[in-house]
Amino acid sequence: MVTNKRTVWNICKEIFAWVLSLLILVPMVVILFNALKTSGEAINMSIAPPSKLHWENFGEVWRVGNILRSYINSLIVSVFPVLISVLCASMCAYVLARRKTKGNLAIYTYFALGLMFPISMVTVVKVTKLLSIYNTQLGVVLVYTALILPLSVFLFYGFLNSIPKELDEAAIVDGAGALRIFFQVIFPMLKPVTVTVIMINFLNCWNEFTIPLYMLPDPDKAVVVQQVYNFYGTFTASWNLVSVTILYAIVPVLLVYICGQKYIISGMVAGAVKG
Amino acid sequence: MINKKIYHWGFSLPAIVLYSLLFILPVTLNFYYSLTDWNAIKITGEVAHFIGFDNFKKIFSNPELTSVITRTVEFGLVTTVLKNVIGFTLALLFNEGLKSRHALRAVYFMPSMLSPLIIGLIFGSLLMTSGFFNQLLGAVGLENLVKPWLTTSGSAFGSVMFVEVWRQTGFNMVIYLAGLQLIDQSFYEAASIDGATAFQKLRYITLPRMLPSISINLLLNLSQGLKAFDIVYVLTGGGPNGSTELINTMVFKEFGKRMYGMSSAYGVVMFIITAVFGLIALKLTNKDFDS
Repeated sequence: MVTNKRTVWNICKEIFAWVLSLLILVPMVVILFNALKTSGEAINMSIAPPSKLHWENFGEVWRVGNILRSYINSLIVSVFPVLISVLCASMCAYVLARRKTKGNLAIYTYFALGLMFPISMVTVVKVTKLLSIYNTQLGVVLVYTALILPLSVFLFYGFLNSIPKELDEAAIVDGAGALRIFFQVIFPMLKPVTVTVIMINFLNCWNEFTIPLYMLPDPDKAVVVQQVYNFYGTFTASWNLVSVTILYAIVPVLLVYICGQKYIISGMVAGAVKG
Repeated sequence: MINKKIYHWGFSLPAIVLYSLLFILPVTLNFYYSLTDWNAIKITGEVAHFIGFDNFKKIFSNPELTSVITRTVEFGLVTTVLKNVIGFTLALLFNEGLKSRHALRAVYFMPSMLSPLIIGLIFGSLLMTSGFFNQLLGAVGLENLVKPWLTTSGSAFGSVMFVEVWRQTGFNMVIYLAGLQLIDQSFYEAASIDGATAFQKLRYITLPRMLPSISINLLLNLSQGLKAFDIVYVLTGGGPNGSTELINTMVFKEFGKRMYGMSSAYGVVMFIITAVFGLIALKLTNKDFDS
């Protein structure tokens, strides 16, 4: 009797949760439906399914919106910061976690500041101009790297604390040098957290809009998110085409999310709660 | 001695250099430039003279500009509270029992993976005068509520906050789920034997053990809320009549006008507010944790 009551209650909760999730799913469905309509049909962005599927919208936006180029641009400024930050942050966190001197603890706190505080774009522009990397992809790559380093160090640091130091000592006894111990013994063991760092940082870089807005005025270097925004400015009357660009921007993100959901969530958890 | 050689300080150098040069240095420079009239409004080029606290006097003597600051704080606090309360409730709901909880978690977490700018565009289309939201209101017989949500002073700010909450509630939920899973089930079993009610279990077992999660969520949400930019920029651009203007949109506006010194001053205000609220959040959650 008690279990029956509990099952009924759980089913009610389940139904409620799915009804509430419409709040998230319906906007996505609206975008999908309108991407397949003519601009006349899509004028009010209604949830009515398209009367005829206009797949050619995708081809048109691909050409006019220069989506391929913006994909390449987005990939460049997402992949490189991820690679650099994984390498730099894991090495840095390794030293900080293994030698907890006063100085190293201060450095850890110094990185933690970056988790909380906003970056100031006006002076980032100034500094990158001084370094002659303003309005270049290299500049954006380096600024993204600086921006994602704090979270990466934080996540690696938390994970490294759970790897026993005896492993290093065994390697020292075997006569391995500092670089070999790190790259052959420690780094392979960091794989779970590395995957998480890669996923989270990749999504953050891919989704970033503010930094390209300040730093990449050149339309040829526009990233996908910027391209969507520009497209929205030019084609406000054609919501069907705007919907298509939105889909172009979110499909890669959704693919990464679906493939890596496990790592993204578990990594956030490990880093945030235990760390 | 061996430690020094194996855990060589050089390992940490690249990260420190990059972070210092492109994060900390700009933030530090920002403090200096906030005290100057740095601008590029004349064709002759950029100038920067030291003018003391004039920029800040300007911000704090103009009621319209001061209200940007109070509005930013309101935005940060209201969205933080809503995201946490709803996120916590969802976490309790999805922690166990429900059959489809994994699918539900994935659905609710999805928005926080999307670009805020894209989310802004999506809701910009849904909330326009003839858009889906108003169609829905009309369909259920609430025609009198139909209005251009983002261009009416009374509703624009609330709408923007709603979109921000929509975006990040799932993230909070996941952090809370993580915290819930770390709680030892035997606590609940013992409490059940003692005849504790569901509410008592929540108050005396769950909440105290969730403080680390609450702490991290408060910190992250406050810092995100206080520096919000993309969503406001694309949904309302700060309008109508500046009723959704936040500090970070002012930073960009002054930057666009080439008034870099003034832009930096807003940046400093944002930095200080973030620091103050961050410290308060840390103090509150740490104190409870000790007792």
